[in-house]
Amino acid sequence: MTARREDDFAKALTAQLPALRRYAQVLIGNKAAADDLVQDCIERALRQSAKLEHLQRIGGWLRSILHNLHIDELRRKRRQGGTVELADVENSLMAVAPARDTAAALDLHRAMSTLSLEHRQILLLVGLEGLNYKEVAEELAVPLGTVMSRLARARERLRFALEAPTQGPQRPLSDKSA
Amino acid sequence: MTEYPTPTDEELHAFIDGELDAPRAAKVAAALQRDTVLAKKVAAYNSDKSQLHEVYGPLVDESLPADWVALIAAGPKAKSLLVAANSNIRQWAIAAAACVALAVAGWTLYRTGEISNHETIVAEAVAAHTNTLPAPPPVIGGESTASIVSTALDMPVKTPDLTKMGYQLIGVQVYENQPGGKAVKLDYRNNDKRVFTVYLKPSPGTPRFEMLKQGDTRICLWQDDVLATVMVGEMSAAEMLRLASLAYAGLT
Repeated sequence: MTARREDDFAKALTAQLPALRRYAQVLIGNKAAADDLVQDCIERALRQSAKLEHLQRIGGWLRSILHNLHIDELRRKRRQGGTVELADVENSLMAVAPARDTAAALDLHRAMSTLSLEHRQILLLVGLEGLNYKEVAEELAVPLGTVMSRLARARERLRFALEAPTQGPQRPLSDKSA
Repeated sequence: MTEYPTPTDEELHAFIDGELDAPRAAKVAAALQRDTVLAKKVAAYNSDKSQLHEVYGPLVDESLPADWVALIAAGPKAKSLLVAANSNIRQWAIAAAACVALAVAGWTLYRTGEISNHETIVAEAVAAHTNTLPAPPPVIGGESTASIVSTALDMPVKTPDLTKMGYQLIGVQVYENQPGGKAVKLDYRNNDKRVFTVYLKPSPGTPRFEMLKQGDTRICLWQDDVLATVMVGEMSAAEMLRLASLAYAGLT
């Protein structure tokens, strides 16, 4: 890789970090674990920078690396005999609550914590990262129809969780929802 | 006239996200007018989407760990040291890699006075943005902007082209007597008359990347070994990140 390309890559990577960190925090619901994950992601991105053909796609590329690393970590913990139900992510999403939090925000944290990783992911990509459906489909490597149905299901479950009586943070029953 | 059937859930969400073409969107809108239950459902989903942004959006303003920026600054030199699996070892490896690379580049990590310098340059940039710094004489003559900036800062610096984001360069000012040397302000403006300021000074030497917020004003401090860049404007964090990225890349 040329020095110019390395420089451009470093700049693009740095510019993505605040949003990538936010994405990780909300996705896995644990601030410290999210920071570890982002750091791992930076390391892998630096090692594999030559694989990124178009710098303008770095955001999705980084999120994919981060997601894969997270899944690897979950699998590794399962193999080691840890609790299957994402025990390591038990810390509530409340841990990442902004300082100006409100009761409504806490309700949202609680509701998000009941969703599967897959549903949180699609809600964040569309609702927070501002990706359109085509971009989400490309990033997740799924058909457009899957994006639409998964998003509809995720929002439905979020709505249900928001309307349900508050019982504190819950974890999803399974991380493999449609 | 044939009544459009009740929209599917997928269509409702595509409507919320602006993903439907105009004719289909109009049909969904008509269905919502007829069906108040459906309209309430869509309103609730819309509210959830907005709330997601309001609650989690501000997380983007948190300062980044210095290790990360240093690690990226170290670049490929750090790669060979980043293989340790153990977290403590990895932390040490990252720090070592960053220090080695930064030392090679002649940088001094965490040097004394860094914080005050950091605060000073941000304050200067915000003051320049709001035009509360003593106004320097206007730049006169046919010299190119890039030449003015490069001469003032005594280093080759290009003038970023931000037209891709709708911002046109409207002015350049050179501040001769700022703490730490000369400084340059580039003002850009978009069609909404919003001004985006790029404030440039020689770097104190520490790589940094920080997003800050003061009221409605977003500030992005992006500093490498030679140049400190502070970008200021009234905009969302996402827009600031895109503009800052384009501006910073356009300086070299």
